[in-house]
Amino acid sequence: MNLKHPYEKHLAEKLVQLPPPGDPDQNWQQMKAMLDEDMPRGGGLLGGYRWMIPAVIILAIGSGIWFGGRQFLPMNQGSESMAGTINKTQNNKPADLTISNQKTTGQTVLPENNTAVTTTVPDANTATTETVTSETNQKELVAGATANDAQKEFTRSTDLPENDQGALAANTGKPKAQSSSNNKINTDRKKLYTKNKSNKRTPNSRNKNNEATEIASIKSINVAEPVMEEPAAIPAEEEEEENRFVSLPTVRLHKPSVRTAPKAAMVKESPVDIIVDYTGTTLIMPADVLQKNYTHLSPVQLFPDLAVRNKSGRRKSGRSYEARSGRAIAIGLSLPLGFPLGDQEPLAFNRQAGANTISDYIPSPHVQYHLNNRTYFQTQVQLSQPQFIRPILLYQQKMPGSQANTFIYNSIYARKLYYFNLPVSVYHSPLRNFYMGTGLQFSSMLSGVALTEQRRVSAGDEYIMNQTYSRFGNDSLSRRFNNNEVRLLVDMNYYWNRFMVGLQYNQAFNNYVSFQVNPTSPYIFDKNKSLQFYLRYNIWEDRKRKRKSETLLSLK
Amino acid sequence: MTTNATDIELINGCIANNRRAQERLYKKFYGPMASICLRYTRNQEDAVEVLHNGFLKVFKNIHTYEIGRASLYTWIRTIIINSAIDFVRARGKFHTHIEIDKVEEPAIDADAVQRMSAHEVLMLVQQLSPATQTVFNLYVVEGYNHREIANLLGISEGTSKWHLSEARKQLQKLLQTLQV
Repeated sequence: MNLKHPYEKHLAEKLVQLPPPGDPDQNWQQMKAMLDEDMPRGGGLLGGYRWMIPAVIILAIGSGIWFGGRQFLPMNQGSESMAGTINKTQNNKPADLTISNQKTTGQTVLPENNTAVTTTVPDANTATTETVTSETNQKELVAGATANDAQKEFTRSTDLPENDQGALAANTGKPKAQSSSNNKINTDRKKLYTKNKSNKRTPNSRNKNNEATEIASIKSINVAEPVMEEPAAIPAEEEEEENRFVSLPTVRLHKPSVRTAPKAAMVKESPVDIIVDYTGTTLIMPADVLQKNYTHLSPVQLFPDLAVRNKSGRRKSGRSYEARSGRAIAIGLSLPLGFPLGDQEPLAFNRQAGANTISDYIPSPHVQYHLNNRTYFQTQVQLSQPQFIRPILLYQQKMPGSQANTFIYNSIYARKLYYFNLPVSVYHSPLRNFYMGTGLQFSSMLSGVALTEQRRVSAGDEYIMNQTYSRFGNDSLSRRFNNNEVRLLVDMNYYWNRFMVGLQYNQAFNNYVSFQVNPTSPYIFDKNKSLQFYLRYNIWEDRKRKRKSETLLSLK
Repeated sequence: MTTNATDIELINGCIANNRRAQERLYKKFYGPMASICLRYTRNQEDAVEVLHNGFLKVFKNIHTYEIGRASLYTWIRTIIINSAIDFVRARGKFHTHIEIDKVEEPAIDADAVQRMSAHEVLMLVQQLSPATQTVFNLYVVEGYNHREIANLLGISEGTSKWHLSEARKQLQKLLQTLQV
């Protein structure tokens, strides 16, 4: 018992009436500095989650782009991956066979455009090219027929300067003509590679002109025989987009021996030896070979095993175009279906603690941004997503019962939570139509469903007297939860005809609950985790389709 | 002092780490809490340090405050007093082994105290040793009994009584000095 003397009461009164020291405004600045240090609100480098969230998103996006194929590499840089010298002799390759079989259909006459192209050569090459066009029998240039068409198409698409077209034409000439040209041909292989003065290449200066020169040099393909015996043909199937625009290596085709066999026999025999040089320099054909254009064939078709070996390099060069051409946006709806994980318990009550749980399956909108046909970003807005949890005791009161050794326990358990979710994720397709993704999800707790229970315990027996489910949110119960959290998500799905089915798992970085019900009870802590099966449908896709049956993601 | 709607709004703002709400709460309770700190310390600087440490605990743990259990003032005051005790404990040890059952009750003139100003009384109390000052404050001003003080400070009840007795003796001497 507190017994005070009369003077102590006076002392207490006087002490309570003490004026506060200092100025509250001034001291608040000191307090604020302490708060900024101990409880930062963001805005600075160490500003809590505000800088962490975008940093992690940027990290996720960066890693996604890295694993997604480095789409931002320029085209030139991509073609560098083909550097290196590889000599390849290719026998019995279907490329030439296709040419023999399919290329002679009414295309024995060179298009007149060919002449027009060749006559626009600069002075240095004029003599050569004119000689070529005059000396070249159009009937002889069977290979040139379709090859030139492809060449023209290629030239148009790459805006090849006339200079370079001239260089191209120079390379299609006969040895006699070439001997008088600027690009002299010598049988000595060391002297085969010359540089056009107007198209000098330096390692660090790769302008458009130089690109064109490179492309032109790619087109120089020599065949020893008159073309009448080796008609060229474009393969029936369309070339793949990514292969058409790859900067091809310099290719020389040497006829190993003179063949007089009929076409059918040629089909069976190996027609050409292909020597591939990847130095990238302009190639002038030897005098004793006839030039032939194989640019309509993709490197993959020409050198399948080489393509496999240089897969990473090919990917670089191919994707730079693909990256530019495949960007698209899609908008759709997602229908999620959550499953309880581990000790989580399902609960068949909705957010209002009602019995009808149809509101748990309201579709949520999503937006996808496709960098190309393999990689896309997605964000989604889940306005009220159920989150299964294990029953969490939020409140307990123990009261003595009417009988001896009988107690009444009034308890409140959290049974289910509802969150606003904002996931941002990046997806990549390792296999056709199959996507894997990862990202971050910001989750904010909206409300929950609580079970209020009254239990009587007497002599070891427990009786549930009453159970009621009710909604809680923005009250003393919800304040026991950590309302905002960031989760890591991993996702995999299968895309088919605008539909996606998949599984998504996410787990929070921090605890959503960490408290003691009373000072004697142990700490309760738990992290949110969720497994969702979902069905998505892209309602709108802005990309033009080549064929009706193709959808955004099936264009791979 | 009860918790009203404004307090609830402040509490929610502080839970959300809202600086404006924290500032309002700080300034609202600054006066009484600073006075408490002043009673347990020797000077204003120490008082402000204790106050800020206490408010930091308040802001960090305000989500654990339950409206139904106590008023916000009471809850904050408890935290501030605990902070003051921590402060005193960090600077000087309490005697934990003194056991006395009966204490001498020195005679102090109540009228003399009545005539003194609050500042003079504070000067008197601040001249006590830190541990004795704390026990005196807890017993006389806060109204705790010896058992509660013993639990709070981690000392025995006898030690608490001894400190109170010491406080009274010293105050008597000081008052006599002042009257002389």
